[in-house]
Amino acid sequence: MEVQTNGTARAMTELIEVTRALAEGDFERPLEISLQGELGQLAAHIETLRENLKLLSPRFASSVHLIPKAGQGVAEISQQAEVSVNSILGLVDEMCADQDVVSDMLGKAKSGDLASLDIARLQEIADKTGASLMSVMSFLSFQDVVRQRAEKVQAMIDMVEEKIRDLLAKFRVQVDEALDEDSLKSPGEIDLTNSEAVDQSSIDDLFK
Amino acid sequence: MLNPDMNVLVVDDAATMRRIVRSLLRELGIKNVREAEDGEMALEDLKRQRADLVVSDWAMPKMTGIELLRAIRQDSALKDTPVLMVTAESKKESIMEAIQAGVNNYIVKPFNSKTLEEKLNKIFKVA
Repeated sequence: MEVQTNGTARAMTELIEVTRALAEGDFERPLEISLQGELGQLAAHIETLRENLKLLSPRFASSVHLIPKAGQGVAEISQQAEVSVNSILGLVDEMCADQDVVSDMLGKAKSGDLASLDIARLQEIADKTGASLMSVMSFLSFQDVVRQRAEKVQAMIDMVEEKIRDLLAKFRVQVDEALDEDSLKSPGEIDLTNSEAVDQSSIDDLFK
Repeated sequence: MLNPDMNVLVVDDAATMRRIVRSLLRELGIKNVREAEDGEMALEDLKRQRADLVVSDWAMPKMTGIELLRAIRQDSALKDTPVLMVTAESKKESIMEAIQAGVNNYIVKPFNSKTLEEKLNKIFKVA
């Protein structure tokens, strides 16, 4: 009887140790004890849990780094878009300034001051505008860069989602695919969809 | 001056990019431009009709730009076709890979129209 009690006490100590190790993220220590009855069932379930966590742990470790990478990818997309748009705006500013020069010259010519028509300057502006318009067109290629980077970020997010689903499936957590966005939101959560945006003409109607 | 009669094949899965490159080539006097959505279509097109220049993206479905480049260089009828890559792929290893595969020049998106003209002048040795 005493031997049995001692054996059970040792097994319980081992069970507590392994469970503590699990709680601290150590999934390597196997539970190698023999217990009967309900304690034996408990031990078996804990060992199954340990094996599941051990299997999933490296997959999660490898996917955790994807989340900051995806965030960095989004930041780079935003930066790239800003740089390209600023380049385009710079060119547009220059063309507007040249447009003012042309308008000024034409205004003076209309009122009889033909001497103000600087043909060489007009030609220079015409050539420069043509080149600037081509530059604007080529800078618009940034949208293709944005598209490709967004696809890479999307692929990273898909990988993380797959691993989360693995975990949920492993622990038999039911995923309700029909959950709507409102029920998922916690208080103060930012709504990333602009589903309630209205167009300008609808806004104008409100001010009639 | 670039030969205005040259015919060019533009390969990119993004229709907007094909349109941009086509417009820029037109501004340089090059009007004979045809298009392909991916490397596979481009290769089939080249086998039907040669091109004086291929302008290709890198990341495309079915056959990427680098795979297209290799296929062109391995084809005895197509191997000397000049290939210019115009792509968002800017990693040094990728550029080196393209050079080793035989690309004639490389432009990273977004790019300036002057850059396109410079690279074409370099490929066709125009002063």
